[in-house]
Amino acid sequence: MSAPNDITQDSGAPTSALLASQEPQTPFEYVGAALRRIRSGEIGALPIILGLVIIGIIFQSLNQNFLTPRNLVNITIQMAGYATIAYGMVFILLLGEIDLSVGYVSAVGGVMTAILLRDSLTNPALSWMDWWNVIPIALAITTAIGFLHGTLITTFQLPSFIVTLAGLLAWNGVVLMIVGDGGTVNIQNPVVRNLASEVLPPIWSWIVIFAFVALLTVMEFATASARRKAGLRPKPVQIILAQTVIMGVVGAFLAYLFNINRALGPTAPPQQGMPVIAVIMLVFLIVLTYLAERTRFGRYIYAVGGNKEAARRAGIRVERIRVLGFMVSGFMAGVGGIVLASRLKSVATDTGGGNLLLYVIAAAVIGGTSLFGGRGKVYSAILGALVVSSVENGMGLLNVSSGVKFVVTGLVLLAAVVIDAISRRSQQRSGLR
Amino acid sequence: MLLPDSASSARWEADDRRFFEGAFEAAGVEYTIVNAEGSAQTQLTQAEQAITNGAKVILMVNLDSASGAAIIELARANGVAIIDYDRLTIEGPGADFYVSFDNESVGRLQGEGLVAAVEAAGLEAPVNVAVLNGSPTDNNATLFKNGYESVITAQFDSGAWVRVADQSVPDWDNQQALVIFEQMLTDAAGDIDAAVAANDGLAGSVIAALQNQGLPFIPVTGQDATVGGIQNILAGRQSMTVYKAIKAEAEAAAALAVALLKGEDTASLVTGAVNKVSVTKDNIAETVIADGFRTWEEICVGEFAQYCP
Repeated sequence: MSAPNDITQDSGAPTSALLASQEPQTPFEYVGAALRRIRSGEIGALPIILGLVIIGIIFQSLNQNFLTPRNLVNITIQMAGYATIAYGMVFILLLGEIDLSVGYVSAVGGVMTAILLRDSLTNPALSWMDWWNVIPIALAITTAIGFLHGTLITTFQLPSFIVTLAGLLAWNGVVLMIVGDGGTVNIQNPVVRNLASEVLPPIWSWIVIFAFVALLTVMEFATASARRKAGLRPKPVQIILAQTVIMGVVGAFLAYLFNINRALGPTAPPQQGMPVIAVIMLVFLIVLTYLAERTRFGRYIYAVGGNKEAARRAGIRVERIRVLGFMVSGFMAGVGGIVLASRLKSVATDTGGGNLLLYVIAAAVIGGTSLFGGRGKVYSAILGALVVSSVENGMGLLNVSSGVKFVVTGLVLLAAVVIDAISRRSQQRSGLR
Repeated sequence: MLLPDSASSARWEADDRRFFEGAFEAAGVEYTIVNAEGSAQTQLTQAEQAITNGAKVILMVNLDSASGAAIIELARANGVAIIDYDRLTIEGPGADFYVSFDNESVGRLQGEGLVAAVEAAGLEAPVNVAVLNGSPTDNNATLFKNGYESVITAQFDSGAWVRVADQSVPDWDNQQALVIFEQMLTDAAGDIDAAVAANDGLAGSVIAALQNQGLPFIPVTGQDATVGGIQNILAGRQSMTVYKAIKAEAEAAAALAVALLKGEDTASLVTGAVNKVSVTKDNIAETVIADGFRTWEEICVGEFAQYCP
């Protein structure tokens, strides 16, 4: 994994020159610098990994089904909807904005998919519709919604809080109107139905995970060589290789886990292999990480979120970047909505409501993306979603009352924000911000 | 007409709104129908708004008893007649009228439906049963539970059934219900033979969880006779749903409101309970279809057409 503050350096934060000159050469120095960064509050994913260990110990001690292969796969599937929507939320938070509409925008995506697929069965004029064109249509609609929000926010200089709050209400209304009198709409298209439950043949668990590890390693080497060319000191080769080995071991464990037969009871058909939905999460993780960290658009996102005025003076078309950020959020909300609809194999008037918005924002923030803009990573969405889903999952196992559930979820969110605030303060103390 | 929200059940926006519109149009009275979207504060504001706009009769589905009582006091202070619709406001002075189904008996129908379905499936004791209750903040959910518990408790006491899990679903949220039922399955190692689900949405969550795990369908109850619910019943995925003749309930309430508005005698209207029936595979045509609540066209779509008459 790259150093947590790579991006702030690259995006031209005022301290970048200073930090770059301190970039160490030997692996030993590199580790020392990493430890210094942690002490100064640049803690990255550390608290969350600690948090996951604690969650694991607590729930496993209360119910021995928590850390079974089948339940770990359950968590993977249950977190997919939150993670995909939270990916988009990360871009919004990086910009220093908020998007309160993602819950119902995701519902628009899911409901449009369900309704168009239903109408393709009843309306001869729409019989050309199938999953492969309905899904892009639904995603185009939610992306357009993001464009609309972004344009309103930038054109009239409105706070995103208000515009997306209006969106929350309006899109809830649209969902109610398109679901209509029937109350619930079953999804019949086999591809969309099975998206959330399909698994790959066991061999593919190994192929996908090792392709993922290899890709990350290649990206690290590419960065190192780019830094060398730019006259910056690259990450030591030994460190990159050590990272690859660690990822390989974790990946091998995951592949092994996915391939254990997790069928419930002796009568159920064997269930093993990596869920397709996990692959989808990984693909978006790679694509969006690339978008955020290797493209000009991504650097501008960080720059605008770090200091809007400085970004504008540096010649960045701030308004355009903000609109594009909202479009990413709309697109990912659509993806998440389709994933959630596929999980339930139906949509209803309550789609997109409940705790969805809260969990999505919580996922991004718990994962370490700051609510104050400019600081965060795409992978924080998946880590945060893992925490949120683990808590939801564990409490489902324990048969606890709704009151307890709300209190525990609230406390987890509070803990995450406190950690965010503390790490920000110690960064200020050590002069990094 | 003050509606509560659109999440606790599909019915408020999908059904009640159109039936009230129809009834009020037919009676030729002026009306507004608003939805508080889950906020008691919003509902109070909407009540004030209605009174300001000259409303003479308010029909209210409260969000909780305390805020309902505040609205009743407000109406009374302004000389506006108020009718509790579907949900009773227990606290405070009480509304002038209360029109509703007997919610406990809805729950009883669900309990009886599950007992019958378990019998029909020929399941042998001990039958592992999971219970998915409605929202913990909805008084009706408590009444439904009282109803089905009054029937199924005997089964648990006799040892014929075993209660493997029992949880409430916050806000009746289907996605949360899906996770909750998946976790019930995990905890029971997949060994759940039947489930009480308080409405069709929750039943849909049970069905989706079973399909996702590649498990066979089990007897499961429902409520509201949604299109999805009826389709699941036809396909043998759901045992029954409770069809509350929402149309009859809405029309009774609307007739009462119109009578109050026109100063007519209301005594003849304030009697009798409103219909609700258990709908299974065998009586879909005689109930929801015959009433015009659902049509075969909206149900018999795609794969479900093969089950239709």
